[in-house]
Amino acid sequence: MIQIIRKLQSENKYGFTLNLESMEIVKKGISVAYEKTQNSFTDEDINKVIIHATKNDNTIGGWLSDNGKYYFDSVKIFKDNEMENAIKFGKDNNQIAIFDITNLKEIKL
Amino acid sequence: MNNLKILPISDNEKSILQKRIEKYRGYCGIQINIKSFEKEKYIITVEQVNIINGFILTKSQLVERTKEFLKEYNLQLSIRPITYKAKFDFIDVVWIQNKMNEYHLKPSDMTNQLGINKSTISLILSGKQNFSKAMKSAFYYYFLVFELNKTFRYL
Repeated sequence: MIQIIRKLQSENKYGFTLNLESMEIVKKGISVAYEKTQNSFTDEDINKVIIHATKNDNTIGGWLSDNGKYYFDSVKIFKDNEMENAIKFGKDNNQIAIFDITNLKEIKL
Repeated sequence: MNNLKILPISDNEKSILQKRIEKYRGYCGIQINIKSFEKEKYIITVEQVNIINGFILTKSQLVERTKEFLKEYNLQLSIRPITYKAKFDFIDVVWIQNKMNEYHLKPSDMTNQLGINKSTISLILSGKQNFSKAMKSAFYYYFLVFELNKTFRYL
């Protein structure tokens, strides 16, 4: 699985969101990261992110930092009409922002 | 690379802003760049660098999102939007055939919906005719419609 994630990383220079169940790129909804898997970038970290995701919402997000590291989060995808829940979940997980993938907007918390 | 040091905000705020910018680019495909300070305004570029879900933003939409992104700092901004630069070099016969399979399309569908005559479609699909950049563009946006239908209309 780590190899698949690393391949997606190389194909998506800036970032991606992946549903591990369908193995499809997530193209809509509101993405909120779990606090528990923050600052993950090594293969060992990715393994932890995958384990966390499979026990929770089966979704991981990856994004490139300007320091050259590619970070990974276990994330929860909320439906477009669940913004209030997404904001609460983000705050509960000490997130600085959540991301409306459908409308390509950041929601600062 | 962002020139965050020119902003009149604390180091902690800069650190948070840096992370927000990076994650916004990763999750939404939009790159905000703090460039310089000129004539009492902060020069910002905003570029759609990745198409996540087929939503191609206009310049005004990019500006609107950037204003919202930076509003808490109350800065005088000059925002320069850069719309997505489409590249069609990757489009070839195999790509078209894969898309046709993915969306269950027949050559006759494309004849009607793209307005390209049957013999031209046949020549393209057989690899006997090269196609122009304009035609690649037509194929790209044609299949994008089907992708959007699949993503947002549950078809």
